[in-house]
Amino acid sequence: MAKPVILTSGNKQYSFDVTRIDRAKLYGVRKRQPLDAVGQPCTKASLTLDGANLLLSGMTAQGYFNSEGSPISRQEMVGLDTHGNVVEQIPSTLGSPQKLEGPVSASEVLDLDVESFFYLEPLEIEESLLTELKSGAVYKFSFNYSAGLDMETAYLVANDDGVFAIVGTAAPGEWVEEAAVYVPVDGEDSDVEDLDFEAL
Amino acid sequence: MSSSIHLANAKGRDATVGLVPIKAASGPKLGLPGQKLYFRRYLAATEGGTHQALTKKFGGDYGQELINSDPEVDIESIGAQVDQTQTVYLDSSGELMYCDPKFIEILLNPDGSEKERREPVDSVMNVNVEVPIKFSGRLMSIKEAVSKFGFRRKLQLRHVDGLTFDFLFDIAKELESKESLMIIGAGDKGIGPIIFQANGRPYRGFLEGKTKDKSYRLTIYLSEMELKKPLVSKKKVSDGE
Repeated sequence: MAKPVILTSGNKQYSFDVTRIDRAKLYGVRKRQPLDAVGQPCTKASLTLDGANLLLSGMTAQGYFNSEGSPISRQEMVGLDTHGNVVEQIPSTLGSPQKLEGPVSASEVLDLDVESFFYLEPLEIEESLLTELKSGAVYKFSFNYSAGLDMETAYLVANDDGVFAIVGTAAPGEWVEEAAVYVPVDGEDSDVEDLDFEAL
Repeated sequence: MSSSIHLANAKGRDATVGLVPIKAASGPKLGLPGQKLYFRRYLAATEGGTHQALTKKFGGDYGQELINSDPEVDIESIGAQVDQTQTVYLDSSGELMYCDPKFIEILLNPDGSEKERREPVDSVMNVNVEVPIKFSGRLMSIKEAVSKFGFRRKLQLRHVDGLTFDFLFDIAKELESKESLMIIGAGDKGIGPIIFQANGRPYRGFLEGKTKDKSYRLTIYLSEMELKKPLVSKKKVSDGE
């Protein structure tokens, strides 16, 4: 079980049990099941383009290789920034007190490139903070669910359903001038799937 | 995914403009200093090396056989790089199918239990079609929006010529004065879900506009979920509920 989120503000400390949430956990999912001629479930597989190998689940693996074609294990690899400099791994912030900053502008949340959402079950919290959050105040803190190469930012918000952390990295849009040339972006992730959105 | 959107403003004037996803700059990555690494998918087992095939050949207890003769390793194939492949289906007896399977749709509840089985329902892309995405006329404060909805994706609107620059700049100016997000969507009332590709996820759209001197920033924030307590949270599990 994950350690709690611990937040400090002045001499006060708050803690929350943390549960990652996504659409499947809230609304369920929709799956398409292929059936054969007698109505029984089929198995999806892949065929290599030369037709030599039929690939069933578990028959392929993936990994990193150097230019000579030798495999490189994850243990050998280190974190590198965009300039190729080595960066240290940052440990998880769970169980480790983080400073709560704010209140901050709600617009900061919109600037995030959101990575994940968490439901925070209060374990130790003052009613005054809950009241403030439910009235629309937004706080932020540093957050890493698991050890990683960069620290993310979490924004603490609340509504009648509870307290939530919205986690991601800042990515405000660009200012667009008249002379700017629009170039369509290819290769955006496909978002085919699932259930009708029953949220509203 | 569509890279343009047919949008109508509050007055019902419409234009087709560009869409650009907004993503954070990529951060540090795993690697080796001074070396370029390649991420590859490769063959780890062949059909003859699967549990089923080995059981058929040697019986259920084939462990010693693996040690003695490495029957699961096909020297000619294992380790071969796998690039492009073609999706195929095997019928319930494991034979390759030479015609398309029939599909059914299964709806699962959040707890994984089955809710419904039905004929597949296809959804069509609706952002760049004859009927534009419209303003609903409903404004929501940013505070309310960020505490109620999860915004996982955002797209920036971009003009494609001088006329659409004026069109988008005016929308941004108007929304900026309201200091709120405009709910936009499909349908006559502009409240229907927005779908960016065939069978794509349906999103609720919230449009924000800002201006600075002679530049603008128009962003559509897309939500596919509310911020809600999950049916099963950790405390409930530990409480035995």
